[in-house]
Amino acid sequence: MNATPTPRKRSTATPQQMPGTTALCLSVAGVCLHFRGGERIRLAAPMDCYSTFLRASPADGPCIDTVEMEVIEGEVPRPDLLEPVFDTGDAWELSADDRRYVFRTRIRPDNDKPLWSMTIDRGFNHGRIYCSKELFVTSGKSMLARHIVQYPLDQLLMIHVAAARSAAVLLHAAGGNIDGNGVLFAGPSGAGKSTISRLLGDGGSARFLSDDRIMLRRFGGKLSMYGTPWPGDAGVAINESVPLKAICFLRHADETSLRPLKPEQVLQRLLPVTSIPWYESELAGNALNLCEFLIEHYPAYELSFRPQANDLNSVLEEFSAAA
Amino acid sequence: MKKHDNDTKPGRQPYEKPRLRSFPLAADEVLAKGCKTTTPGTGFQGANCAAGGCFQIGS
Repeated sequence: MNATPTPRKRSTATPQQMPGTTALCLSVAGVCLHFRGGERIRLAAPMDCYSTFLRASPADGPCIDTVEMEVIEGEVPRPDLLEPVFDTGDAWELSADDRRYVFRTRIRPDNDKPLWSMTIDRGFNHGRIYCSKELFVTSGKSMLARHIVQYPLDQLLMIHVAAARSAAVLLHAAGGNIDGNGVLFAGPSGAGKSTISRLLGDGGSARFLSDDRIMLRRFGGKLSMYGTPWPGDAGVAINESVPLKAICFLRHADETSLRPLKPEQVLQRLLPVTSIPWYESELAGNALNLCEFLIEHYPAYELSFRPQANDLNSVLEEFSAAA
Repeated sequence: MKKHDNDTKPGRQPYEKPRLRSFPLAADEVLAKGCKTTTPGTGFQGANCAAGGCFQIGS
């Protein structure tokens, strides 16, 4: 018997069977956040609602703006040289010097030690995420970083990259595709975004991309809306886009009606539901320019509604009929 | 010399003094500050969980 020795396969698994991956790319509205963990650090897989927004690398799909983020252990060097820019008071704070922005979180409001800090150049091209040891699970020489590709870090980064580089803004709105027309349903918490997503989405009148956060992006003279991985109570997070047709601001009422709004009325309703970095004039200016474009070029309505699908469907026929 | 008399032009609207109007911006809801639920087991669930592992910020 002539037995030919077969070459022994080299195992691709890490010695300690550490889960996670060395790099992953979160893609929302053409903005790709490329997180890399380096030699020792692996990145924990995000929650299920992220699944359609993830890739192994930016090259695996369409990508308009890429941000390279390195995940490391430790703290931001020389924080004493930074000037304060904005402080939420308890959740996170922003400081800066001539070259970089630094975002810091706190473990608890009464504890100044950051859970993670994030530095990024002023052009929002590349940065580092410094993680405290509380974020890691260690096994041998490998470390698994948890809660990195996750709210609030990813959303915070996306809001600022969108304003700085992408002619895009994040809106506190649900968004549905009604016969190829993108319709936004905006409002603060409790306005009914998830409710309307269920009522219209479950009945098949619309395909909802998100029930809580929509990214709006400008391409020349048009706006498109994109689903995001940050759903609301209805759990809708679809990685699709559709050209914008109109925006509705939600209001609870006893009867369902659709009322056109004047520009000044739109402004008053739009600003509170738009993620605008007010504390940085250039970024805020970019976001406000997009808001102005939306107000000038797209019809806006106040949608008063009671949660009965039949009423809503009759109102929304207006959007499906108009091409 | 012809006298300009703007007051007699047709269609002129009466002057209305500009008014300042203020409204809240709901920064808690749009600047990745707050959240409604927390991810169990992260160990960072204080008065505000945004720094920890919370996720859902829904309406």
